[in-house]
Amino acid sequence: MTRRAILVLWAIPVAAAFTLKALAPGLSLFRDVLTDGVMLRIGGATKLLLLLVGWHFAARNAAALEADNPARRPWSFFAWGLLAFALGQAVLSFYQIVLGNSPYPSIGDAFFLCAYPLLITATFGFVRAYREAGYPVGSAREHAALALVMAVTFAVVGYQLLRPVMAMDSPLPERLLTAGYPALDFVWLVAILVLLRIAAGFRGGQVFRAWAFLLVGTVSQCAGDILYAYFAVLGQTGLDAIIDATYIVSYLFVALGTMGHNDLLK
Amino acid sequence: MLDSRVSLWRMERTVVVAEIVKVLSPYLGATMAEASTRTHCEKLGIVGQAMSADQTDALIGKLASGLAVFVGREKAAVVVQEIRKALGTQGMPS
Repeated sequence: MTRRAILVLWAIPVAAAFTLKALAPGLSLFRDVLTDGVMLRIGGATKLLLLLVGWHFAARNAAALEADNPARRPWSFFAWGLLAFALGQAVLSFYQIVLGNSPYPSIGDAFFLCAYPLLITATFGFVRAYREAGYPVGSAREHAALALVMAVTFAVVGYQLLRPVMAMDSPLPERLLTAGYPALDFVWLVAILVLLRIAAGFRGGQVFRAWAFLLVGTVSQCAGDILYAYFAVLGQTGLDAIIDATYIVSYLFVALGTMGHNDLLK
Repeated sequence: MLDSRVSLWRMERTVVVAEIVKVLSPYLGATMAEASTRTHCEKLGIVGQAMSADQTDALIGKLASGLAVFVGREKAAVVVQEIRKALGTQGMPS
Protein backbone atom coordinates (compact mmCIF):
# COMPACT_ATOMS: atom_id res chain seq x y z
CA MET A 1 0.00 0.00 0.00
CA THR A 2 1.41 3.41 -0.94
CA ARG A 3 2.00 6.24 1.55
CA ARG A 4 -0.63 8.20 -0.36
CA ALA A 5 -3.24 5.44 0.05
CA ILE A 6 -2.49 5.14 3.77
CA LEU A 7 -3.04 8.88 4.25
CA VAL A 8 -6.32 8.81 2.32
CA LEU A 9 -7.58 5.66 4.08
CA TRP A 10 -6.83 7.26 7.44
CA ALA A 11 -7.94 10.85 6.88
CA ILE A 12 -11.15 10.33 4.90
CA PRO A 13 -12.88 8.11 7.52
CA VAL A 14 -11.81 10.57 10.25
CA ALA A 15 -13.27 13.47 8.25
CA ALA A 16 -16.39 11.39 7.59
CA ALA A 17 -16.76 10.71 11.32
CA PHE A 18 -16.63 14.46 12.06
CA THR A 19 -19.18 15.12 9.33
CA LEU A 20 -21.49 12.44 10.72
CA LYS A 21 -21.08 13.92 14.19
CA ALA A 22 -22.16 17.32 12.87
CA LEU A 23 -25.18 15.85 11.10
CA ALA A 24 -26.26 13.38 13.80
CA PRO A 25 -24.63 14.29 17.11
CA GLY A 26 -27.16 12.25 19.06
CA LEU A 27 -25.97 8.87 17.72
CA SER A 28 -24.95 6.38 20.41
CA LEU A 29 -21.64 5.99 18.52
CA PHE A 30 -20.68 9.50 19.60
CA ARG A 31 -22.01 9.01 23.12
CA ASP A 32 -20.33 5.67 23.86
CA VAL A 33 -17.33 5.18 21.54
CA LEU A 34 -16.30 8.31 19.69
CA THR A 35 -16.84 10.65 22.60
CA ASP A 36 -15.88 14.34 22.44
CA GLY A 37 -12.50 13.62 24.03
CA VAL A 38 -11.76 10.76 21.62
CA MET A 39 -12.78 12.80 18.57
CA LEU A 40 -10.72 15.77 19.74
CA ARG A 41 -7.62 13.59 20.11
CA ILE A 42 -8.08 11.69 16.82
CA GLY A 43 -8.79 14.93 14.95
CA GLY A 44 -5.81 16.76 16.46
CA ALA A 45 -3.39 13.91 15.76
CA THR A 46 -4.67 13.52 12.18
CA LYS A 47 -4.30 17.23 11.39
CA LEU A 48 -0.79 17.30 12.85
CA LEU A 49 0.26 14.23 10.85
CA LEU A 50 -1.09 15.66 7.57
CA LEU A 51 0.59 19.04 8.13
CA LEU A 52 3.92 17.38 8.89
CA VAL A 53 3.65 15.30 5.71
CA GLY A 54 2.84 18.45 3.71
CA TRP A 55 5.78 20.32 5.27
CA HIS A 56 8.18 17.40 4.66
CA PHE A 57 7.35 17.12 0.95
CA ALA A 58 7.23 20.90 0.38
CA ALA A 59 10.73 21.16 1.89
CA ARG A 60 11.88 18.28 -0.33
CA ASN A 61 10.42 20.03 -3.37
CA ALA A 62 12.40 23.19 -2.55
CA ALA A 63 15.58 21.18 -2.02
CA ALA A 64 15.10 19.29 -5.29
CA LEU A 65 15.05 22.48 -7.39
CA GLU A 66 18.23 24.22 -8.48
CA ALA A 67 19.34 27.37 -6.60
CA ASP A 68 18.46 29.59 -9.58
CA ASN A 69 15.04 28.00 -10.20
CA PRO A 70 12.42 30.74 -9.61
CA ALA A 71 10.05 28.20 -8.00
CA ARG A 72 12.58 27.16 -5.34
CA ARG A 73 12.06 30.17 -3.06
CA PRO A 74 8.23 29.89 -3.17
CA TRP A 75 8.52 26.21 -2.25
CA SER A 76 10.79 27.16 0.68
CA PHE A 77 8.28 29.76 1.90
CA PHE A 78 5.47 27.26 1.44
CA ALA A 79 7.38 24.67 3.50
CA TRP A 80 8.05 27.22 6.28
CA GLY A 81 4.39 28.20 6.23
CA LEU A 82 3.27 24.59 6.60
CA LEU A 83 5.82 24.09 9.38
CA ALA A 84 4.37 27.09 11.21
CA PHE A 85 0.89 25.57 10.80
CA ALA A 86 2.23 22.23 12.05
CA LEU A 87 3.77 23.91 15.12
CA GLY A 88 0.50 25.70 15.80
CA GLN A 89 -1.35 22.42 15.46
CA ALA A 90 1.25 20.69 17.67
CA VAL A 91 0.51 23.16 20.47
CA LEU A 92 -3.21 22.69 19.94
CA SER A 93 -2.82 18.90 19.73
CA PHE A 94 -0.89 18.94 23.03
CA TYR A 95 -3.90 20.53 24.70
CA GLN A 96 -6.30 18.22 22.84
CA ILE A 97 -4.43 14.94 23.37
CA VAL A 98 -3.08 15.55 26.88
CA LEU A 99 -5.78 17.73 28.40
CA GLY A 100 -8.73 16.94 26.13
CA ASN A 101 -9.65 20.58 25.47
CA SER A 102 -9.00 23.30 22.84
CA PRO A 103 -8.17 26.68 24.40
CA TYR A 104 -8.86 29.66 22.13
CA PRO A 105 -6.81 31.76 21.78
CA SER A 106 -3.65 29.82 22.66
CA ILE A 107 0.08 30.12 21.96
CA GLY A 108 -0.65 27.90 18.94
CA ASP A 109 -2.43 30.85 17.31
CA ALA A 110 0.87 32.76 17.22
CA PHE A 111 2.27 30.02 14.96
CA PHE A 112 -0.88 29.91 12.82
CA LEU A 113 -0.70 33.69 12.33
CA CYS A 114 3.01 33.51 11.41
CA ALA A 115 2.16 30.96 8.70
CA TYR A 116 0.00 33.32 6.66
CA PRO A 117 2.63 35.84 5.48
CA LEU A 118 4.82 32.90 4.47
CA LEU A 119 2.05 31.13 2.56
CA ILE A 120 0.81 34.32 0.89
CA THR A 121 4.36 35.24 -0.18
CA ALA A 122 4.87 31.69 -1.45
CA THR A 123 1.68 31.73 -3.52
CA PHE A 124 2.46 35.09 -5.15
CA GLY A 125 5.99 33.74 -5.73
CA PHE A 126 4.58 30.74 -7.61
CA VAL A 127 2.45 33.07 -9.75
CA ARG A 128 5.54 35.11 -10.68
CA ALA A 129 7.73 32.06 -11.30
CA TYR A 130 5.20 30.29 -13.50
CA ARG A 131 4.37 33.42 -15.48
CA GLU A 132 8.07 33.87 -16.21
CA ALA A 133 8.39 30.26 -17.38
CA GLY A 134 7.35 31.47 -20.82
CA TYR A 135 4.19 29.41 -21.18
CA PRO A 136 0.95 31.06 -22.30
CA VAL A 137 -0.62 31.35 -18.84
CA GLY A 138 -1.85 34.94 -19.08
CA SER A 139 -0.10 38.27 -18.82
CA ALA A 140 0.87 40.14 -15.66
CA ARG A 141 -1.84 42.68 -16.49
CA GLU A 142 -4.48 39.95 -16.79
CA HIS A 143 -3.43 38.44 -13.45
CA ALA A 144 -3.43 41.88 -11.81
CA ALA A 145 -6.97 42.53 -13.11
CA LEU A 146 -8.18 39.17 -11.77
CA ALA A 147 -6.51 39.88 -8.42
CA LEU A 148 -8.12 43.31 -8.24
CA VAL A 149 -11.62 41.95 -8.95
CA MET A 150 -11.14 39.22 -6.33
CA ALA A 151 -9.73 41.69 -3.79
CA VAL A 152 -12.72 44.02 -4.17
CA THR A 153 -15.17 41.09 -3.96
CA PHE A 154 -13.49 39.68 -0.85
CA ALA A 155 -13.31 43.12 0.73
CA VAL A 156 -17.09 43.48 0.39
CA VAL A 157 -17.81 39.91 1.57
CA GLY A 158 -15.20 40.19 4.32
CA TYR A 159 -16.63 43.43 5.64
CA GLN A 160 -20.14 41.93 5.78
CA LEU A 161 -18.89 38.77 7.49
CA LEU A 162 -16.36 40.24 9.89
CA ARG A 163 -18.17 43.35 11.12
CA PRO A 164 -20.58 41.22 13.25
CA VAL A 165 -17.60 39.18 14.50
CA MET A 166 -15.95 42.33 15.85
CA ALA A 167 -19.23 43.33 17.49
CA MET A 168 -19.60 39.98 19.30
CA ASP A 169 -19.72 39.82 23.07
CA SER A 170 -16.36 38.09 23.64
CA PRO A 171 -12.85 39.18 24.70
CA LEU A 172 -11.03 41.41 22.19
CA PRO A 173 -8.17 38.92 21.45
CA GLU A 174 -10.73 36.25 20.57
CA ARG A 175 -12.66 38.61 18.29
CA LEU A 176 -9.46 39.82 16.63
CA LEU A 177 -8.41 36.24 15.94
CA THR A 178 -11.81 35.10 14.74
CA ALA A 179 -11.88 38.04 12.30
CA GLY A 180 -8.14 37.97 11.57
CA TYR A 181 -7.98 34.44 10.19
CA PRO A 182 -10.66 34.96 7.50
CA ALA A 183 -9.15 38.38 6.64
CA LEU A 184 -5.78 36.73 6.04
CA ASP A 185 -7.51 33.91 4.17
CA PHE A 186 -9.14 36.41 1.82
CA VAL A 187 -5.71 37.88 1.01
CA TRP A 188 -4.32 34.39 0.47
CA LEU A 189 -7.34 33.46 -1.67
CA VAL A 190 -6.56 36.33 -4.08
CA ALA A 191 -3.14 34.78 -4.79
CA ILE A 192 -4.56 31.24 -4.83
CA LEU A 193 -7.20 32.12 -7.42
CA VAL A 194 -4.62 33.73 -9.72
CA LEU A 195 -2.51 30.60 -9.36
CA LEU A 196 -5.60 28.50 -10.08
CA ARG A 197 -6.10 30.50 -13.29
CA ILE A 198 -2.54 29.62 -14.29
CA ALA A 199 -2.84 25.96 -13.26
CA ALA A 200 -6.10 25.57 -15.21
CA GLY A 201 -4.12 25.95 -18.43
CA PHE A 202 -2.32 22.70 -17.63
CA ARG A 203 -5.49 20.56 -17.47
CA GLY A 204 -4.84 16.91 -18.26
CA GLY A 205 -1.18 17.00 -17.23
CA GLN A 206 0.76 16.01 -14.11
CA VAL A 207 1.46 19.69 -13.33
CA PHE A 208 -2.29 20.35 -13.13
CA ARG A 209 -3.03 17.26 -11.03
CA ALA A 210 -0.41 18.25 -8.45
CA TRP A 211 -1.62 21.85 -8.33
CA ALA A 212 -5.30 20.84 -8.26
CA PHE A 213 -4.75 18.92 -5.01
CA LEU A 214 -2.74 21.74 -3.48
CA LEU A 215 -5.16 24.48 -4.51
CA VAL A 216 -8.29 22.55 -3.47
CA GLY A 217 -6.54 21.99 -0.13
CA THR A 218 -5.70 25.65 0.40
CA VAL A 219 -9.17 26.81 -0.68
CA SER A 220 -10.74 24.30 1.76
CA GLN A 221 -8.47 25.58 4.51
CA CYS A 222 -9.62 29.13 3.87
CA ALA A 223 -13.22 27.85 3.80
CA GLY A 224 -12.68 26.27 7.24
CA ASP A 225 -11.54 29.58 8.75
CA ILE A 226 -14.33 31.52 7.08
CA LEU A 227 -16.95 28.96 8.18
CA TYR A 228 -15.63 29.21 11.73
CA ALA A 229 -16.14 32.98 11.72
CA TYR A 230 -19.56 32.60 10.08
CA PHE A 231 -20.73 30.00 12.59
CA ALA A 232 -19.38 32.18 15.41
CA VAL A 233 -21.54 35.05 14.15
CA LEU A 234 -24.53 32.72 14.00
CA GLY A 235 -23.73 31.38 17.46
CA GLN A 236 -23.69 27.84 16.00
CA THR A 237 -20.91 26.29 18.09
CA GLY A 238 -22.39 22.80 17.51
CA LEU A 239 -21.11 22.91 13.94
CA ASP A 240 -17.45 22.77 14.97
CA ALA A 241 -17.29 19.17 13.75
CA ILE A 242 -17.93 20.36 10.17
CA ILE A 243 -14.98 22.75 10.49
CA ASP A 244 -12.77 19.94 11.80
CA ALA A 245 -13.78 17.79 8.81
CA THR A 246 -12.99 20.70 6.45
CA TYR A 247 -9.52 21.16 7.96
CA ILE A 248 -8.74 17.44 7.78
CA VAL A 249 -9.77 17.26 4.11
CA SER A 250 -7.86 20.45 3.32
CA TYR A 251 -4.65 19.27 5.03
CA LEU A 252 -5.02 15.91 3.26
CA PHE A 253 -5.24 17.63 -0.13
CA VAL A 254 -2.27 19.87 0.68
CA ALA A 255 -0.23 16.81 1.68
CA LEU A 256 -1.26 14.97 -1.51
CA GLY A 257 -0.44 18.06 -3.59
CA THR A 258 3.06 18.41 -2.17
CA MET A 259 3.60 14.66 -2.72
CA GLY A 260 2.34 15.01 -6.30
CA HIS A 261 4.86 17.77 -6.93
CA ASN A 262 7.57 15.58 -5.49
CA ASP A 263 6.66 12.89 -8.05
CA LEU A 264 7.00 15.52 -10.80
CA LEU A 265 10.55 16.31 -9.69
CA LYS A 266 11.74 12.69 -9.69
CA MET B 1 23.75 20.27 -29.88
CA LEU B 2 23.54 19.42 -33.51
CA ASP B 3 26.66 19.83 -35.62
CA SER B 4 27.18 20.98 -39.19
CA ARG B 5 26.71 17.45 -40.52
CA VAL B 6 23.05 17.68 -39.77
CA SER B 7 22.49 21.25 -40.93
CA LEU B 8 20.73 19.91 -43.97
CA TRP B 9 18.21 18.09 -41.78
CA ARG B 10 14.73 19.52 -42.28
CA MET B 11 11.34 18.32 -41.20
CA GLU B 12 7.73 19.33 -41.61
CA ARG B 13 6.92 21.82 -38.82
CA THR B 14 3.60 20.10 -38.14
CA VAL B 15 5.39 16.77 -37.60
CA VAL B 16 7.93 18.32 -35.19
CA VAL B 17 5.20 20.12 -33.26
CA ALA B 18 3.06 16.97 -33.09
CA GLU B 19 5.96 14.90 -31.74
CA ILE B 20 6.89 17.54 -29.14
CA VAL B 21 3.26 17.91 -28.05
CA LYS B 22 2.95 14.15 -27.70
CA VAL B 23 5.91 14.03 -25.30
CA LEU B 24 4.98 17.16 -23.32
CA SER B 25 1.26 16.36 -22.94
CA PRO B 26 1.57 13.98 -19.96
CA TYR B 27 3.34 16.77 -18.03
CA LEU B 28 1.66 19.95 -19.27
CA GLY B 29 -1.66 18.64 -20.58
CA ALA B 30 -2.43 18.50 -24.30
CA THR B 31 -3.80 22.04 -24.53
CA MET B 32 -0.84 23.72 -22.83
CA ALA B 33 1.66 21.50 -24.65
CA GLU B 34 0.24 22.53 -28.00
CA ALA B 35 -0.28 26.20 -27.10
CA SER B 36 3.21 26.60 -25.65
CA THR B 37 4.87 24.86 -28.60
CA ARG B 38 3.03 27.07 -31.09
CA THR B 39 3.71 30.22 -29.04
CA HIS B 40 7.43 29.47 -28.92
CA CYS B 41 7.43 28.72 -32.67
CA GLU B 42 5.98 32.18 -33.26
CA LYS B 43 8.42 33.85 -30.87
CA LEU B 44 11.34 32.13 -32.60
CA GLY B 45 10.03 33.16 -36.01
CA ILE B 46 9.40 29.56 -37.08
CA VAL B 47 6.60 30.14 -39.53
CA GLY B 48 7.46 28.16 -42.67
CA GLN B 49 6.42 24.63 -43.51
CA ALA B 50 9.87 23.15 -42.91
CA MET B 51 11.99 23.34 -39.74
CA SER B 52 15.77 23.14 -39.68
CA ALA B 53 17.73 21.29 -37.02
CA ASP B 54 18.82 24.62 -35.50
CA GLN B 55 15.24 25.84 -35.26
CA THR B 56 14.19 22.53 -33.69
CA ASP B 57 17.04 22.80 -31.19
CA ALA B 58 16.05 26.36 -30.30
CA LEU B 59 12.40 25.35 -29.85
CA ILE B 60 13.27 22.40 -27.62
CA GLY B 61 15.60 24.62 -25.59
CA LYS B 62 12.89 27.22 -24.97
CA LEU B 63 10.33 24.60 -23.96
CA ALA B 64 12.84 22.84 -21.70
CA SER B 65 13.82 26.02 -19.84
CA GLY B 66 10.14 26.72 -19.09
CA LEU B 67 9.46 23.13 -18.10
CA ALA B 68 12.44 23.22 -15.71
CA VAL B 69 10.60 25.80 -13.56
CA PHE B 70 7.91 23.18 -12.90
CA VAL B 71 9.85 19.92 -12.81
CA GLY B 72 13.47 20.93 -12.22
CA ARG B 73 16.35 20.98 -14.68
CA GLU B 74 17.19 17.30 -14.29
CA LYS B 75 13.69 16.09 -15.15
CA ALA B 76 13.43 18.65 -17.96
CA ALA B 77 16.62 17.17 -19.44
CA VAL B 78 14.99 13.72 -19.35
CA VAL B 79 11.96 15.13 -21.19
CA VAL B 80 14.27 16.74 -23.78
CA GLN B 81 15.83 13.32 -24.34
CA GLU B 82 12.35 11.87 -24.84
CA ILE B 83 11.61 14.57 -27.43
CA ARG B 84 14.90 13.95 -29.23
CA LYS B 85 14.24 10.24 -29.22
CA ALA B 86 10.78 10.78 -30.67
CA LEU B 87 12.17 13.10 -33.34
CA GLY B 88 15.01 10.63 -33.95
CA THR B 89 12.51 8.09 -35.12
CA GLN B 90 11.39 10.79 -37.57
CA GLY B 91 14.93 11.08 -38.93
CA MET B 92 16.44 13.81 -36.68
CA PRO B 93 19.89 12.88 -35.36
CA SER B 94 20.02 12.98 -31.54
